[in-house]
Amino acid sequence: MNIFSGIEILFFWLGVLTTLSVGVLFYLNRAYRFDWKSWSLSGMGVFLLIFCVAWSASSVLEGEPQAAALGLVFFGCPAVVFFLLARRLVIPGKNAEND
Amino acid sequence: MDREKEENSQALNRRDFIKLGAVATTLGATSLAAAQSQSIKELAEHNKQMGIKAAEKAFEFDNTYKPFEQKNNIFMATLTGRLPALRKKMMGFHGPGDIDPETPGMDRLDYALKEGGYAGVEYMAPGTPASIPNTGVNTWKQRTQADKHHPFDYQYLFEDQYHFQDKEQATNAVKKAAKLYGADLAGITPRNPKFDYAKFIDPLHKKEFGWEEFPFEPKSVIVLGFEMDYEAYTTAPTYVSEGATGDAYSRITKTTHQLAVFLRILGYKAVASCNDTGLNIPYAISAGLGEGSRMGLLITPEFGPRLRIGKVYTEFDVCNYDQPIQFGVTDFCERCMKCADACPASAISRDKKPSFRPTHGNKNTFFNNKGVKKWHLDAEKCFGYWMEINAGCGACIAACPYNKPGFWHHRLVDRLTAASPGPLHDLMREMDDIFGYGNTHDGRAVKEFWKNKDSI
Repeated sequence: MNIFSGIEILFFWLGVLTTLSVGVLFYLNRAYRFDWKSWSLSGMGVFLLIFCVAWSASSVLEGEPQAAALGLVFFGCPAVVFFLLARRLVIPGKNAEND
Repeated sequence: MDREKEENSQALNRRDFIKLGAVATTLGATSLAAAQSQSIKELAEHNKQMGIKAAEKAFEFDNTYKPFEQKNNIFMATLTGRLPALRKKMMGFHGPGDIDPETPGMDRLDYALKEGGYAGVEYMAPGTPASIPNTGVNTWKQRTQADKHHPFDYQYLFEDQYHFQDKEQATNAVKKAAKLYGADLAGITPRNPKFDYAKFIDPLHKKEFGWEEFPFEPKSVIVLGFEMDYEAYTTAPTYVSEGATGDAYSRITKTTHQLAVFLRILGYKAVASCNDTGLNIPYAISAGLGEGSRMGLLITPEFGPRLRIGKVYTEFDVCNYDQPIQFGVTDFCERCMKCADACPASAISRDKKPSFRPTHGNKNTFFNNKGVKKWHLDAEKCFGYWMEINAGCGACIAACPYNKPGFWHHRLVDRLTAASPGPLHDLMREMDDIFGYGNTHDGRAVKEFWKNKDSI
């Protein structure tokens, strides 16, 4: 019995994902002390990640697989880049440690 | 000291987290409340949210404009033999002899879908999609109590008029009834003789007549929009997409007839109309349903061009008339050209700007409504392609970037499009292609249509 539509289930899980992401950011902040640049980059990463999931899942639901795949590329890749940049700022690499 | 500072910092973070949660909850609750209170009464707020502003100028006429004559539209011109080659082809149109099992979307299954779609309109008001007025339930006759069909027939024109509390109540009541009966969009506009056919013909009964035969002086036109199925239109041009067209016409006929009866019982004379009696698109623009476009069709914020229009002429005028809207369609159409590229008959103008006169180069221009600024279609080429494939086309509708399902991300892109300057529209169009929207002549789409269980 389909009580909820696909889009309702999607937005429920987006809510879960948003809450978890914000929680993880605050948890990491306790461990690594984010500065404003780290907050900005990781915040952008979380926003793009959630947008990517929302876009791609919505495209699958509407029967447009190409739009779903391109959504992963256009919004998912920049999200990963933002997370990697934020990680570099928060956890300095070996070279930085040697300095 | 550092430890204390860190604890303070963490306490601040926790407070921030709680604040953030409170703000998010407030925003969520506000959005939910706004969504739940969405009603016809709050249409203005809805339009504001959709990025719509009242149009300053919905139409530009020059001093040569004359009301269009029904005999000049492409259906009537073909039926009456003014375009003999098309007429010859048309006589074999819509028949089971056109079934082609080898072509995707043109099989007997697809043909059955198309004919089933049209079954309602062809039974209730035959010929009305081809603009024939005063037919079937779209009759102009205003039955009174003396004309009852049977003792239990109470669907006649009441002598006294119902008194609404105010215009707002009247407007809401009419739109509420229209939506209950099946309309997806509803707007009310004053009757404008510029948008009405100057004269009428009924080629099925070989009759010509004028407005003197209309049973009353209409004051208002209630314009209704009916969505066509998105998935069926991904198959355009096929019998499957035409099934969606036919189904929309059947729903129009049912709903406009019901609304006309509703008005008559309230004591207001009313005539249901589909493609007959007047021009749907200017009336729909005037009633605030959407904007005109390069392909000549109405573009609505909700469904893009993927809808059909019905209307009810009535003497009811105790209402607040809707205003035309603008949400950036004309600007976008100037650069997009996706419909013109997709048109298999090359019938759609590629001019950057709209004009008062057709520029398509066809020696026949009688089917163009001249004197109003718009992109003029070569209807002979367009209809000729219909005759070639033995089906209604709709490739322009399928290709249009505004033709999207009702998902949130398309509404977001529409708002960005409306807010962005012209050069970004080129990018929007390219992205539409890259993301795989707007394909036409796609045999796989037909298979997907019949296979997809999610939409059952």
